[in-house]
Amino acid sequence: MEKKAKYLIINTPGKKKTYVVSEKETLRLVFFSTCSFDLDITLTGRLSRADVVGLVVPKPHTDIVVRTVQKHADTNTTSTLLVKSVVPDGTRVTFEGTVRIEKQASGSDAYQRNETMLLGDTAHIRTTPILEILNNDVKCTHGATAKPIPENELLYLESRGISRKQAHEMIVRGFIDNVVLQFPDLKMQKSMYNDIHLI
Amino acid sequence: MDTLSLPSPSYAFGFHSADVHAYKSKKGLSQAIVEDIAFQKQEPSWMRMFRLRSFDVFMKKSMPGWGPSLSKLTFNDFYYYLKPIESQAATWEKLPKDIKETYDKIGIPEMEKKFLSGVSAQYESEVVYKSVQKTLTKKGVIFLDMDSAVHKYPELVRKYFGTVIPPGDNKFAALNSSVWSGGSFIYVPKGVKVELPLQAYFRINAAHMGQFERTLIIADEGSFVHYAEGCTAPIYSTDSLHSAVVEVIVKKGARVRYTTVQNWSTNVYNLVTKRAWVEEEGTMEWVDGNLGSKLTMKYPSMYLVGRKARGQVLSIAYAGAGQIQDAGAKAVHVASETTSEIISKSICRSGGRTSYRGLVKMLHGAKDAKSRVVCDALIIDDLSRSDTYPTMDIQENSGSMEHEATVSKISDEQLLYLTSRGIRGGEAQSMIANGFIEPIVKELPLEYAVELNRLIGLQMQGSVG
Repeated sequence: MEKKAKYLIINTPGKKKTYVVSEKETLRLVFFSTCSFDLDITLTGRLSRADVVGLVVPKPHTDIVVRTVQKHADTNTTSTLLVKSVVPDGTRVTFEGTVRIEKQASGSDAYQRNETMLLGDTAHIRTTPILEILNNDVKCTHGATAKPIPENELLYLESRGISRKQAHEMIVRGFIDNVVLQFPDLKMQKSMYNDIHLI
Repeated sequence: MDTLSLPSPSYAFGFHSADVHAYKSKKGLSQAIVEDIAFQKQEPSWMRMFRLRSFDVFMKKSMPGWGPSLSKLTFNDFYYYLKPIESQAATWEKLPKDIKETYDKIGIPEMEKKFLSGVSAQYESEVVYKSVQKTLTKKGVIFLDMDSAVHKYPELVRKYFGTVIPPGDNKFAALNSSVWSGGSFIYVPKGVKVELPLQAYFRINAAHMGQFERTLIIADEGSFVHYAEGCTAPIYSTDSLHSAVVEVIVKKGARVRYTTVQNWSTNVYNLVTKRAWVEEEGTMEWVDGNLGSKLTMKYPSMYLVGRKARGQVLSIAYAGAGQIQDAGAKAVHVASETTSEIISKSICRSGGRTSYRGLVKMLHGAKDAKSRVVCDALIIDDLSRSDTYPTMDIQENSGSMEHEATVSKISDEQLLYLTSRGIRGGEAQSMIANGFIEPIVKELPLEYAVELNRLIGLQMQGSVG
């Protein structure tokens, strides 16, 4: 049944990560990526489930592509995916997330969400959340947001005597922590904050 | 003569009347046909040149490399120009009998009696009947068919024609630009508000007939106009092609609403390019209902080029057996503080396929732009398919974008509740479907809303034994 989560830290582009989840199994995946990345999950057995959370932060001056696929190939399968991106100045993230419910996969429940925080004047996000639904007995939802750091939140923190730079960091940290804190290893967490220059 | 297949019982407007065309171009498409269209219409040379240039573009452009397959579409299978009667009839009484009969079945006279401010009904390729109320003329509003506008207001037409959608935009825009015929031309002067919707009815009547109407709306500073079009077509056994181009120019502080209810018979390819250019503090609203056709590809767009320009798309799509509705919207934020909202609802059943395909783009410099997209899809049975293909391209870090989509079936709880109240399955399904599209239907003019609810009811109740 329930398995321990898998943790992925991706710092160099590699080949596609493929996972096949069979009957009644659950895949839990937490990832952090600073480069292009391909993730392919297929739910092949009934009552199988996949829960994915990930954080994407491109290295300075890079243009990266993150692709995810949640394929439901059997009945009563469930998948959830949350990808957060922090896009610094001078970088670009392209996110392509697909949820596909095959004809035979009745009773499927799929969720996909992509949240992006744009930092800096020339940050660029291109997000394409795709749904392909071939069965009617399903529940599928996806959402995507892209937002700057809210000026009013910065102001609030500044009025409490926190410097703008610090306030900035606090807000970004608040945005990424629900992914970062899922990594059990403190060293891992530290290196992630490092990558986002939050330390 | 054309062959006619039996209309399906569920298609209310599947009648046709005998061909009475005074002029019919040769079948197929060539430079000679394009020249002939310009000659038949006695157009000025700038328009003739525009058509020929567009034809060149059309020949060079490839078919779109995305979306549903268009491989069965053969351009040489269609007639590109027909002229139903020699000249335009000034009054309803003077219209030929069979044309009047066709309109009677759609119900134009009653509507006019009620409150139409102006009717410009397109039968085949040219507008044959129009009545613009005196009040409109007094206010300086121009509401004409496009062909007459080219002759009567050449400066205005020439200034704006093909500026929002140039022929090079896509293959079908180029096709329309070279063989266009009919459509509406509207000019609303500064500060003028047109209270009643301007309406035009469109019909295709000859088999193999392509309709290429061209509409241009210019709303000058601070003005308002609502333009509504509804389409119904008789059923034929061979594929028809409908490829319109609609250009809307919304000047500073103006507001334009464009409502379409499309109910082509299920053998029509409906490939339409619609785009609005919105200047400072202007508002563009597209209300788009797609019920008919074999394949529709239509993505009403807005280019928000002035500060605080606003755009909205409300879209409903219904796909039954053999139908593909590939509909969506496009919002391009160029200027700062621009906002867009896209709401799409789709229903598919009996093997129909609906897709939402959309683009939200915020260019660098569109400070504090905001966009919100909501797509909901209802899949009635397991033969049908629903897809969502949105793209959000955000190049401005102060921009804010939200997108959400859901796909589901009619819930068993809702059905059970209604059936426990004595409402039968089919009726219950149609109630739920009508409730699902209600937020958009209530934005339609009354007669469209009534017709839409009735059509959905008809389609849904047929679905359950």
